[in-house]
Amino acid sequence: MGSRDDEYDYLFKVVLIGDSGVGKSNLLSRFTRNEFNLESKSTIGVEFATRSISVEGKTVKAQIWDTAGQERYRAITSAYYRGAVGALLVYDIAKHVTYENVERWLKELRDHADQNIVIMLVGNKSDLRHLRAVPTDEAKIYAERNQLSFIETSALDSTNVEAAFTNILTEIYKSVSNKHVGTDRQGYGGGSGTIIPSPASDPPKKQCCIP
Amino acid sequence: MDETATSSEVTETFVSDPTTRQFEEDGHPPLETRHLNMIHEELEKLNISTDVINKMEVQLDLARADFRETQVQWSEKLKELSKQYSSQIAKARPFYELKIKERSLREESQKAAERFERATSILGIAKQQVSLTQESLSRQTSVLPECLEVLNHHIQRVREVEEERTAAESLHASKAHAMLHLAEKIRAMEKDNRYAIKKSRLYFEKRLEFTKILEAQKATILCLEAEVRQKKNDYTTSLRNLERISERIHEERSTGSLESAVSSDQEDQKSDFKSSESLPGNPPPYAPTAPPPYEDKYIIDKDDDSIVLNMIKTEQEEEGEKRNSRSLGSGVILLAQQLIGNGNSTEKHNITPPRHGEEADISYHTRPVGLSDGSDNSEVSSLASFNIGDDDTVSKMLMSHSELIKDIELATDRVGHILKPNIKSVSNAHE
Repeated sequence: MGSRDDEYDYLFKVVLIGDSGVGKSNLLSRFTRNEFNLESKSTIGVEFATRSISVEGKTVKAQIWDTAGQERYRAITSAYYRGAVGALLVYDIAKHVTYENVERWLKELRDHADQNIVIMLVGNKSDLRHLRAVPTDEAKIYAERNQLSFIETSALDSTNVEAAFTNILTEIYKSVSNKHVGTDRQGYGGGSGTIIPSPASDPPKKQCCIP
Repeated sequence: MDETATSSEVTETFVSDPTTRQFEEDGHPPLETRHLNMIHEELEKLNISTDVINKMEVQLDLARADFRETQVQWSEKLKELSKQYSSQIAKARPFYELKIKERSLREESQKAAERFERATSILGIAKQQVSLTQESLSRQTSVLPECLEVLNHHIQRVREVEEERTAAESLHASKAHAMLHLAEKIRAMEKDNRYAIKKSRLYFEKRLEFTKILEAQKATILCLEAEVRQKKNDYTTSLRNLERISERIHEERSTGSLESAVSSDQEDQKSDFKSSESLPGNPPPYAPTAPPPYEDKYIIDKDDDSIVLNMIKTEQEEEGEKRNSRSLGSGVILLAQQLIGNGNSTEKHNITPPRHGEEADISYHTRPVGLSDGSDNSEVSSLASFNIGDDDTVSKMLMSHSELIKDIELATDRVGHILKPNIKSVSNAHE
């Protein structure tokens, strides 16, 4: 089995959503290599792409799901969103209707995804300056109001694509690593980040691998 | 063969054509329920693996940090102690080192003794087998060569076990001898350095304790690492499975099992249209949904039809069997069973009586969350349309799927539980 494939510490599932035609797949291919050789999106309704980046000394493997979002795949919608720690919600800055639909995509996320999912609003096709239909400020304000990160990208000339992905992955890393430390430590470690080993007489037996 | 090649080519060009790119997603027939279920299963496995990998990684971080912390704090403590009694410690060190050696020697000797005992009891059985075989042979008037082979085999076995027993015996003897020798040495040392040994006892006791704690923590880390590796393998496996499913669907589409889809695709589109208003983000208003042009090329006459039907039918039966046997051994189920324990696995068997005919309806209600009515019905109807009289298989497949989802849900819950005690054991190591 993949020995090289396993060289990562965290595995973050990120879903790529937004109306079709906004350039999701282009964004993805700019950032990653495809996991499959085939057009799996048209057959199983999802395409996987991965890329590993380094965050604070940890190798974070981003597993990005590019979904077809088609009606016939709705039966497995729950599986698409379950366990996703991040979502890139993409619209086309030159097509206002794709921006209007952001609201519906957010609802979709609220319905199916984890509450703590990190969402980034991505205005793609920023190279189409002369055709802009969605002002940057408007989207920025909207993002702030809905507690989303915001960035404008161009998959065509690669502007901000790298930044969009690394930003969201860093943000996810922070939430995943801190959240667990915070809650678990409080629950089991006596409420402090540092645990002082007391000189107990016999060390407890580890209860790890369940047979 | 030729036909296969050309039809796949058609699909390829269709997919890669940029002007029809937007139709491509709608251009294919709807997924059959069995495919949908397989995909769903693998996707959920991916999700579980991902979740567990991340949670384990967080725990590993904690465990490693604890390990380092323990190391730092204890070495400080030991350093203080060693300053206080430095000369005594130096004098007593060989004594305590021998003590540790004695302990491990005792364990080894114990193991050798156990090995000897085991060999002895096996030897008894082997000898008995030999005498039983001999007895039965003596009763036979004409001895078959096969029977002699059996006897030979048993005799051979006796010889092997005897060898093992002797080996264990001599190992035990040598260990016992070493222990005796060591005990003498220790006694002599104790006599010479009685004061130093007494004074430095605290230091060496603490040292031993420290080692034990550290070793326990290390074991936890190794254990977690092994589990993470396993989960990463599971993840890769699921991904490969999905790829295989995708490949197979590609293949089936290009070899002309499309006929079943043509009629149901229309239904699908109808339901698409009906539900598009209520569903978020779907479909984009400016992306027209035209029927795929290439479908017209597949004109299948009646004779072909029945062949394809049979193909699908047998394939489904095989698939059903495969699924039944495979899902028992699959990672998710294993995990679920592991986590839930025996109690629940019996419960699982209770809810899988053979199902027939109309009972298939029940499974519709137990479908996973997020399953939309429109598409599901069309899937089912499309399945039923070419699969009449095979309700049994269908219902079995549907049931196993919904059970699977239940299992997954349970497993997800239990993963949470299994992870918590782990953390507890890690942090408990200091208490």
